[in-house]
Amino acid sequence: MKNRILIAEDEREIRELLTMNLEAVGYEVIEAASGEEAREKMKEYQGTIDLALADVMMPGLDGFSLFPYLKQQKIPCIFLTAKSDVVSKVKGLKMGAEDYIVKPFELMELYARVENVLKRHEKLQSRIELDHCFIDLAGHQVKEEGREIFLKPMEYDLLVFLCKNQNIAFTRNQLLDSVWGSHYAGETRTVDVHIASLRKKLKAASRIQTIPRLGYRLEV
Amino acid sequence: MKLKSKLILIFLAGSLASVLLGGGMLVYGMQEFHIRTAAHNYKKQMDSLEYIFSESVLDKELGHMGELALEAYLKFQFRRCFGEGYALLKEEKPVVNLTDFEILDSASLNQDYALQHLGSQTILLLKQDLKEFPGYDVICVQDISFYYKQMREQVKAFGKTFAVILILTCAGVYLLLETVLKPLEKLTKAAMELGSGNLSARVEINRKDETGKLAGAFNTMADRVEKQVDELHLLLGALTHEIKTPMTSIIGYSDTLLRVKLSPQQQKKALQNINHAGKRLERLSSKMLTLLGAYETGEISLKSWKVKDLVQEMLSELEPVLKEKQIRVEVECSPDTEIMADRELMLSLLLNLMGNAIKASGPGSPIRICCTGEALTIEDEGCGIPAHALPHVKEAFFMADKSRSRSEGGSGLGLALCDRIAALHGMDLELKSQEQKGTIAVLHFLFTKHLQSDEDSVEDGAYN
Repeated sequence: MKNRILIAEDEREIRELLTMNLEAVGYEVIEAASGEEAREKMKEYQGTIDLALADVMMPGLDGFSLFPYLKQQKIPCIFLTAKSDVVSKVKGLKMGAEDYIVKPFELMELYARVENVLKRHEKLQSRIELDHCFIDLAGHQVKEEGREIFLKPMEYDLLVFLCKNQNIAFTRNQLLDSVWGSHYAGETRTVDVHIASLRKKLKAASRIQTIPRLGYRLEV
Repeated sequence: MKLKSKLILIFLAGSLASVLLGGGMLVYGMQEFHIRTAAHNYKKQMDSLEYIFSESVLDKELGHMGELALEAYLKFQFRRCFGEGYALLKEEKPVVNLTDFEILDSASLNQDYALQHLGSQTILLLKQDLKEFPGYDVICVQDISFYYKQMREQVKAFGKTFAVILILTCAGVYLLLETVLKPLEKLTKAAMELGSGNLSARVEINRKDETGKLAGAFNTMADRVEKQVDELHLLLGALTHEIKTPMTSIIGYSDTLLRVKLSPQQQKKALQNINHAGKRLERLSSKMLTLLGAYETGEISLKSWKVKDLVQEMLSELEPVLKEKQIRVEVECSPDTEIMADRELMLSLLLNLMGNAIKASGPGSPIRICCTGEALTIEDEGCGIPAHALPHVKEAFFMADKSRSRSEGGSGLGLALCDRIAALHGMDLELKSQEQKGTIAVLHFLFTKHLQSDEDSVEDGAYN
């Protein structure tokens, strides 16, 4: 089942941007153009919303005023704001917000923050399904067509990372940083080697596309 | 050297020089006068004594006298008539000396009178020949040290008085300078502080003299600088905030296009949104430029324009939009009203006001433009401004209805710009509105050129 994210943002373009990107990586998105609309959507999807992204500056019911209602339903909330001043950041965090995203933001940052919050609240699925391949995140097991596939630790991490961030292209350096860690002093060739080995071992890994002049993307 | 020491030195030198010169001349003149008077007095005395002497010497008796007898007789008579301080000379040799001095070189006395200094004494010498007795002279020797002593005492007293007065006036000048210069020091300090960025620095000088005025002018200047900087700060802050949304759009969508697998429809949408955000930034920047231009008051060039022509030009520029929205425009303009205005800025003001009216109006609704000698009115029957928002609409980036105004292409700067331009022209922009009924924007001209009269001079005065 997909994680359901509520977006409360009055600027149409920003709302669509968030929706477009969150949907691309496999979240289900509910859009609300105002605080009031967000409250209606909360009633409609009672108890099934995993996370809310709320803009602080909205006409009418703003993000801060919306927060108590989110809290009632125990929906974790990330505030979105164009203000980077410490005061409003602290105010949001003191209220109990999970995190803060300052506009303009990078996609990677958005994904990372959303995933972190979901992980903290144990709302991430423990299983990833890709064609006939199942990845059991709790047991670190990969099965395809009933057979267990043995992957090296880094191959496994790379596969999970690409699955979690499906449809997003990463450069080899970004993959090195995200999967191997920023302290890893390997060459970008390492990524190619691991991708090749994944493609050899897994049929589902054929979904990993090489994007010219950029890197790799797992397309679904 | 400090101004204070300079002024005191100049003052000291000036008063010293004038007193020394003037005093010296005065003292010298007085001395001359006294001596001359003394000489004159003694001369008179000697004349009268001589007269008595010649009266008492009888002519007839003299005829039979021999040289020696005559001399003895004259000596005798001289002793009778002349007193102390006189001497009788025969062939320049003293025969009777009633003075306290020894007479040595009487022949060299050939002026009216002569002065001789003997130690601390000063003596006055007068010589006169006895007319009836050739070869005989009378000489008068008087001690006039007294005059000199008196003079010296006077000079001393004068010097003392002068010194006291000089010290007192110096002290006075010093105190005065202190009180005058202290505010200047305060001002310097405040100016330095202001210069280093503390715009709230002010001076507190409550005086009615020139320094008080200077302090007042300084404070007024500081107030204006602070106000303008504050305004620009607010504007800049608001602008930065306003730029963030389109920036987020552009960065986010382009990032998405580069990395995320999107359907062709999504790709199109992303591109449209980037385009939209770019256009919004463009609008924002051109409005900002006009607004900043409006802050640089130096560039405003006021000329006389007919309001009617400006309105016509504005309408012709907006014609496509008006046609599209099928808006009826009713213009009622007095043909002669002229205003002193910067053409570009005033057009920008009119376009903004009219643009707002058009945005507020629904299709087919009317907009009335009315111009009298005192004001220009633009009245629409659009959605109006909510009462709670009305006081804020002139603030930069205030939007009564953010999402609606964005979708209409508003930047939130229009009315701030209008207000600024109106203020630059010495005009007043007033907005009246009722929600759902419409808005009336009134531009009050404070200076019009309705009649071709001598009002020109008034206008010049107001703008220069």
